[in-house]
Amino acid sequence: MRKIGFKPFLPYLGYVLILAGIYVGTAMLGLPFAFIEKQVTLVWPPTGIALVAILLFGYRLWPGLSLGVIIFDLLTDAPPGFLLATAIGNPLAAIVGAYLLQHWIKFHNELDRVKDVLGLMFAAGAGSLFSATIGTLSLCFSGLTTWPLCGSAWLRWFIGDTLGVIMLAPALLMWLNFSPSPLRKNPRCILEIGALTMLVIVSSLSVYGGWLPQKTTHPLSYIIFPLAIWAALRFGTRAVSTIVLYWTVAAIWGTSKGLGPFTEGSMAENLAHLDFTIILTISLLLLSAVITERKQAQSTLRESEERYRLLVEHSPEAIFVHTGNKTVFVNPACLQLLAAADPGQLLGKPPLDFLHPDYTGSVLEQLQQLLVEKKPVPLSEEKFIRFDGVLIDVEVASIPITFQGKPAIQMVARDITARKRAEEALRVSEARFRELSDAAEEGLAIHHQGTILEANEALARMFGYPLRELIGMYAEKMATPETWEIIKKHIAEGYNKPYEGIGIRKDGSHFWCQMVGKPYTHHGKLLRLAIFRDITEQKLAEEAKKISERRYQRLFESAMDGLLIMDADTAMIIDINPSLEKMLAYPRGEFIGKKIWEIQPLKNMKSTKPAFDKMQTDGYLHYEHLPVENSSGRHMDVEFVCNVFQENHNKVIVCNIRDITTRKQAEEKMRQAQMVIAKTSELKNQFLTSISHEIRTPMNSILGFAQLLDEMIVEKQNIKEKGTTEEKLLEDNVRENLQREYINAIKSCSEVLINLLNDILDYKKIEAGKLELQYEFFTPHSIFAEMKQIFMPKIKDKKLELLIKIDPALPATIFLDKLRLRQILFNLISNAIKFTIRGFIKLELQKIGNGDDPETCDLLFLIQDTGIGISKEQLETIFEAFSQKKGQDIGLFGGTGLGLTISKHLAQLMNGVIRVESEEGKGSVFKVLFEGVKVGTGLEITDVLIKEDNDTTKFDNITILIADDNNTNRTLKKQFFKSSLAHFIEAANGQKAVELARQYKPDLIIMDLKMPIMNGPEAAQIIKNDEELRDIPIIAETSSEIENSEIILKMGFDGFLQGPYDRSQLIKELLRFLPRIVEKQLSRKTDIDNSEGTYKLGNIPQKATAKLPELISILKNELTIPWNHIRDTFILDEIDLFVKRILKLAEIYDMPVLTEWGNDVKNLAESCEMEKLMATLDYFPGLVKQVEVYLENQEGKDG
Amino acid sequence: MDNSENLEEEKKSLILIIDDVPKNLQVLAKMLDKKNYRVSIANSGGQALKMIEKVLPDLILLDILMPGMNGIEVCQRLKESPVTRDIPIIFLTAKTKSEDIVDGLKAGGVDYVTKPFNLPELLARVETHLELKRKRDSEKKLIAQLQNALAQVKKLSGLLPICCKCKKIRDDKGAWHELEDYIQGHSEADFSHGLCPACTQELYPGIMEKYGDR
Repeated sequence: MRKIGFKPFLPYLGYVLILAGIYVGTAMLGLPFAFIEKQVTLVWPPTGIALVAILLFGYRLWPGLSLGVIIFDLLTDAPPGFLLATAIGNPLAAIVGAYLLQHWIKFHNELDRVKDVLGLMFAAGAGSLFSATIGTLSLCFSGLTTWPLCGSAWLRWFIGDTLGVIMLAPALLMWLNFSPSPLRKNPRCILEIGALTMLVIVSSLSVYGGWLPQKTTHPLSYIIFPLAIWAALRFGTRAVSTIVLYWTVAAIWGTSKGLGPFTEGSMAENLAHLDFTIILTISLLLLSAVITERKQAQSTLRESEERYRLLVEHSPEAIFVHTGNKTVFVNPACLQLLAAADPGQLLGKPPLDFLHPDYTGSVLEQLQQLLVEKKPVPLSEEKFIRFDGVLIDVEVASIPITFQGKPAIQMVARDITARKRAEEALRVSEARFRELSDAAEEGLAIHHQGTILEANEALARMFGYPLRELIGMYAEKMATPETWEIIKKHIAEGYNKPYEGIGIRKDGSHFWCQMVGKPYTHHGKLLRLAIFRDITEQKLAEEAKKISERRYQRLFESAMDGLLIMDADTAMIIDINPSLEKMLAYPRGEFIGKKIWEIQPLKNMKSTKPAFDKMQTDGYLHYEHLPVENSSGRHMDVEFVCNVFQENHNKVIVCNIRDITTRKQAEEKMRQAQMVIAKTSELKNQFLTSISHEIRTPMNSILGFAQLLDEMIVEKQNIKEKGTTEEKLLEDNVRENLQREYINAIKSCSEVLINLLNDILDYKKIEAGKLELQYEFFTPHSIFAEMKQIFMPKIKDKKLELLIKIDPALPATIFLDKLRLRQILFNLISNAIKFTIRGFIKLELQKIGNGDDPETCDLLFLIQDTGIGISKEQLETIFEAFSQKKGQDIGLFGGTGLGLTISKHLAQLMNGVIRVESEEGKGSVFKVLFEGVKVGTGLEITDVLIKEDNDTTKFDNITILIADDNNTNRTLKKQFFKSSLAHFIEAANGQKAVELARQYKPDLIIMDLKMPIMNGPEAAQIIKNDEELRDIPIIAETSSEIENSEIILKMGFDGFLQGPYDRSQLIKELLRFLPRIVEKQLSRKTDIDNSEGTYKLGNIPQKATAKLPELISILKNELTIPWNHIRDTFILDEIDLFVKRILKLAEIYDMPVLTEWGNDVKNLAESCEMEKLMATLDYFPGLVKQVEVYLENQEGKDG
Repeated sequence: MDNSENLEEEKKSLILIIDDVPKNLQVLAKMLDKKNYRVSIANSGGQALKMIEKVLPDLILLDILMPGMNGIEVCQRLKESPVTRDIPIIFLTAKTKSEDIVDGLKAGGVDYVTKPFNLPELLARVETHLELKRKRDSEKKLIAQLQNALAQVKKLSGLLPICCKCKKIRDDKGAWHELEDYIQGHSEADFSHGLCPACTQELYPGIMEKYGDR
């Protein structure tokens, strides 16, 4: 429906006036059909105009209609009431009709539907109800008609109005709504229209034009039907309505002219016959509408089919139509989908042919559903096998359809391989990503404003939640409120740097967490990717580091040592501690940034710069001692230690400077103390060395004299062989054997003593393990024999018994250090004898076991005694150095306390052990066991005992006082003079000695220096102060070391004996005094006063006096030169010769003083007493003088 | 007596024993006396040196440890003097410390004996060194003789200023000697006089003609 805008008033008014004009004109045309009155006509065309106008131009044009009615009524002189009624009723009829059409059936102006045609009829009728009723009533009221005629008037009015609409409206609507049809341009169509038009015109003229006789026209009046039907079929409603209108007008016109078939009745009746045209119109319009509808339907169908075809043909989706077992249609996409060359490959084939077998089951089920239940199958995914063998994923939708009248299935398939792959790839990628994110140590989460959308396992682990619980969770409870505030702030700001906070685990525990969030947009949503890291350990480590740093800082500051840190490359000082500041009295500020050698107090360290270089290469520097002067002038000693350390990228040197001044001082003191100790030790060593010398010297003599004695015995035997009585010989032999035995004892003893001495001196060597052994082969028997020889006298002396038991199975020789073994046995046996008062000493030597090795054997030495024994406590300590038996009376037993210690060590050195078993009061057994001693055959012995000799002198009739507290010593001395006729007086102490000396006036006194009650020097003093005893020679005896013999001599002694000494030593010493003694004895006998000089001439016989001048001459002229010579040279032979001459002279000239002097010289020369010899020799001129003086005196007497 | 005197003759070697301990002197003296050595004794270094001024011993047995001048010093003193330098010195020592021995040997000792001595060993050593000394002395004597001879030969060697006309030679004192006098005075050569033919001709003209070719 076309609306025409009327907004501007003037055009609207124009339209209204035009409409009114058209209405009036049309009404005039209808007037001829008015039968009763002008106001009532058979056909009233204006109603058609009115309806069409309203329909096409809207209700607003009703004033045009009213105006047209009023004008017409005025023209026809209609009464005012009628005028008013029609002015209302007629437009109302049009408005009602239009309203009904538009609102009820959505009227199509084209009348292309049956319902449009029928609707128009109905609307015409309905509208006419109003106009007819109102018009009729107005006629009646206005008196134009009577009430009885009212009904027919109404009817006529109603029919006329209705017809007017039916006649006029369709054609008007058609033409006013004209739209040229494309078909009309077809020349054939135009020709057809022309032909039709011609036929219609000819027919109308034939029927109503009077061309044919009236009678014949009657049937011809129906000729319109085929023509109208033709038009309806071929050209539609417009043509039909036009033809019908034309026909109606022609019929009316012809009839009204009296032409045509309906001319027999009145005009009104004739015209009434024309009512058939209404039927005609309605029928043809209905027919046209039906045809139009049908045409439209067909065209729609055709379009639809075309669209479908195009759709199918061009569809990218493959569309199959199949009947279940046969493919009947495929579109080009199918070929593409299955890589088929032409449709023939597919058509007629079962659709299951290209289905992957896996899907056959499900597809058969689908077919069942489609074919039997006629239900579509929604999308399903299947796999097809293409003709080229490639497997593809397809998405299939099937619906049941009818194809060519048979039930069929349309299947739409889409290749989703790429999508599938992409999906798979995505799935894999996602899985991988998931794995990756789960594997990450960092917790990952994607969240939206704090609500977690996605998270990984690490996050779940970190916070102790199950992962699924985490997803979708609002994260507020995962952090402390403070942290949460920060997080929220950061989310709001889009902060994307790491920061730290405290997280809360599900179990409520807190931990340090480092977070970083990165915002990103996903599908228009602002999300955040957050990464979490548990940094609790790191935090703890940081804390620990801080603590450590603080600790070391405090250490640095509180250290007693001065600490200095400097850069290793530049030597710049970085830091120093307060101790160093204090130590050097140099402010800290002065250090920092300076080189170490620029520091005043350290400048004295001249080697600083080179030392620094050295340190750089070595990484370490240590001065044990550096002198330093601090800025306040204090001298210090410091210990300086530097270490180079790597510190990040730099090297630093840490110097530790310790003030060791005090320590140094202490060390100095210590050093001095040590020096004192060392000096002491040195002195001790010197002392030991001198002892060694002093003791070796006499031992040397002992051995020497023993040798001499031995020789003497041999000589004596040689001399004695002739001219001695057998008895004497026997006696001599016995004595000499005894002598030899003694000599051998002396020699053995001396050897042992020297060795013992060596060992005492070597005690340090033993302790230091430096003692060297000298192994040799020797007979084991010999050692016992030696022991026996050495100890027998002592044993006899003590009235003990010596038992010796030697294993007969002993090897011929054994390989040991004989000296050391002897020393061990000597020590043990000495001890045994020493501590045994009665009973026996048993020596035993056993060979133990039968060793497999014939070259070695085990030897056990047993030394058993019946002595005092050793207590259990002492058993443990007796082998310790200087541990003499407790309560051991040194005076009684003596000893150094080293014996057992040395023995033990010596045994150990020879792989031996010493064990002791003892019972106090019953005795002890010492066992010395040597294992694996090498055994010899006896041919190895090389040592031969050297024969020694001694001398004997007569001491007959001489009284000797022995003052000694030791009984053994006294006995030994007496034993020495056993063979002589000397008398002995014994004293056990000094006092006794003095008493006895006074009582017996002995010829000689041998006095021990150490004695109880009164010691030797005291006693000697008393004796020397005694007029009567003064001349008695006193020989001091001591076993202590004597530094200087002068001291002894000054104490009043005339000589001394250094213990240990042997018999010959004793005798030699005594012999020195023998001449004096003899002289004294003689002088005592002869009562000669010898008190005025050493060598006194005494009385010379008369005859001797006469020869004195001669003697003097000889002495002076012949002997003075030799005397001088021997005084200078001390050649012993010459002294001997000199003495011989003197003695000879003495004999010849009867001069005993010369004999005495000569003998003295001889003896002194023999004993090599140089000093005395010199002194004695010096008497020579004095003697000569004496002789001269005597001679002068005698001559004086004589003369 | 003759025998004993012969013995005395054999007892040529004089051995000086120096020790401060009489016993030591005695033992050694006796021992050496028995072996027919002449023995001299001294109890101190000083006394020994005094003695050596009077008579030179053939060998010295010297104790190291002595009061006053010790053995090493005595030895050094003796080695300083050319007269006593050649006397062999055997040290006697109670020490077994090697440094003492080394000191002794450094000072010029030819040998050492430790106390207590093994007498046969001591005697053997003494005899050995005496023998060596005797040999040395005789060598020295020989050398002296040789040197003497050499010195006399040397008298003729060297540059002799000689007059080119009369052939006289100038001595150290500037006096001119006849050649034969000089040679006779300075060597053991003697001259027999003759005339060479040229001089004969000069001195005795005609004699050549007389004796012709002879």
